Amino acid sequence: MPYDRPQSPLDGVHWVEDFISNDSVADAALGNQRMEIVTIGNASTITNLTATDGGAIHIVTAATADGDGCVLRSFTDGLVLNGGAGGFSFRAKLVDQIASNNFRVGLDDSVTATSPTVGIWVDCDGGVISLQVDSADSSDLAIAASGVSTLTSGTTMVVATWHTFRVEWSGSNSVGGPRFVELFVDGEAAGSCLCNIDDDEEVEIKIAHWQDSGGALAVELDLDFLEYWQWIDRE
Amino acid sequence: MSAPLPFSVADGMYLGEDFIANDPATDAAVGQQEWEIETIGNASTIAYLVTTNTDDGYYGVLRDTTAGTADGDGERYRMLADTLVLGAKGGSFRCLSRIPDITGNLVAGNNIKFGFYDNATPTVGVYVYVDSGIPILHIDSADHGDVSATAASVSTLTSGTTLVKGTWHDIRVNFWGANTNGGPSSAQMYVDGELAAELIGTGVLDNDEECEPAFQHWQDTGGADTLEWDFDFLEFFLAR
Repeated sequence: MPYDRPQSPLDGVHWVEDFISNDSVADAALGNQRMEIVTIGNASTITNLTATDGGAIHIVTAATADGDGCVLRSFTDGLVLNGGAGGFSFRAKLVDQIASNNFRVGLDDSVTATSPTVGIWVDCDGGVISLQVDSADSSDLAIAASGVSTLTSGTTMVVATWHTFRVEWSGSNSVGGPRFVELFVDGEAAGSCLCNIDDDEEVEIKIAHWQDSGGALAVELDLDFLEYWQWIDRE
Repeated sequence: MSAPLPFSVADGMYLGEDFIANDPATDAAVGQQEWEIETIGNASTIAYLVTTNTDDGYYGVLRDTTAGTADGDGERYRMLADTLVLGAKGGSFRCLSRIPDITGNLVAGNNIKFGFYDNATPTVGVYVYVDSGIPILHIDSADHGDVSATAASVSTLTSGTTLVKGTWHDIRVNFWGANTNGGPSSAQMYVDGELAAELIGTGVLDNDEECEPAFQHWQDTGGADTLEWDFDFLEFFLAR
């Protein structure tokens, strides 16, 4: 199905990371968008995958200590979340195991494994998916994914299987941020919640991946793409 | 008419290169996409056109001038090697380029390739090979065999087949269909908007054969020669 996105900066922002790039996987040189890499604990191994249908990366935690992982991000605090229509989408695969294999993808303010205080993101906690909508100025809201036919028990990612995630927000709340946020997994509605985020609370585009097995463990995540868009009336 | 291109990355992979960039035209830093450079023989001189070399309407142009050291010299520009396979969902690629009208520059022996392919002498991919000005559409498979079709009857080409020195030519390829190996079965090549060649149902590329977006320029005049080629833009699309 075709999706509408802002095409001109006059209409808004459309940021695309498809991991089609040259050879580099270095800090500030990852993917089309030259994303920054921030290590959590001990450095993950990140590689550009070959033989893909459109570019992908493979992230493996360090297997040195509990909590190891990495964050891929755009400019810190570079964005606020406006009212009006926007969203992000990505495709991810837990390659080797579900348990202790965690990621956080979306727009938030944390560059560690610590839960953000601001943002809208998809949280994968050992494969269990939830939509998180947090505000430091107001309150946090969240909804666990449920009833998705492609997830185990409607809630949990399937190992070695690509899943597509799409988050869309709309409306304006009383403090200028989005009002209503929806999560779709593999094209199916998975959950929705209201949003209290202020339009002066800062975030950045983010992929965080880490493991919390309690000890050293290498767990693997593949990411095919990540995009973010926000419609803005600039004229 | 252009093929539809994706609005969302969920619809497909899109890579556009217009050569509007900052100063470097060095390895892993060519154009907006920061292409890797692979030298074929001896290194070309690579530069973005400025001032009197620019043309109204052609925004951002990369000029590759072969080394003038030996026969076969040139450069290949690529994304990550082997990053892609081509399945049955279809795709397209396109390039606007010219053989610049410079004294001493030639059509004969002046060659480019562009598209999705695996190395400077491809064994895998869907690509265009412009051989001494004559565009040839290829679907090559290392596992199953190659097919190709040469441009003919294009009103803007010399004798319907050959690029004109000093003239910008727009070459576009669409590919689609499923062959028995899972790759694309068909492709058409348009030159300056006219159908120039097609391979209908004959492609046998496998969907596990690896390639990458790439383009290249080299000369095979038989000796040392400095030959120029200008690239205005390239774009690549794969449906998801």
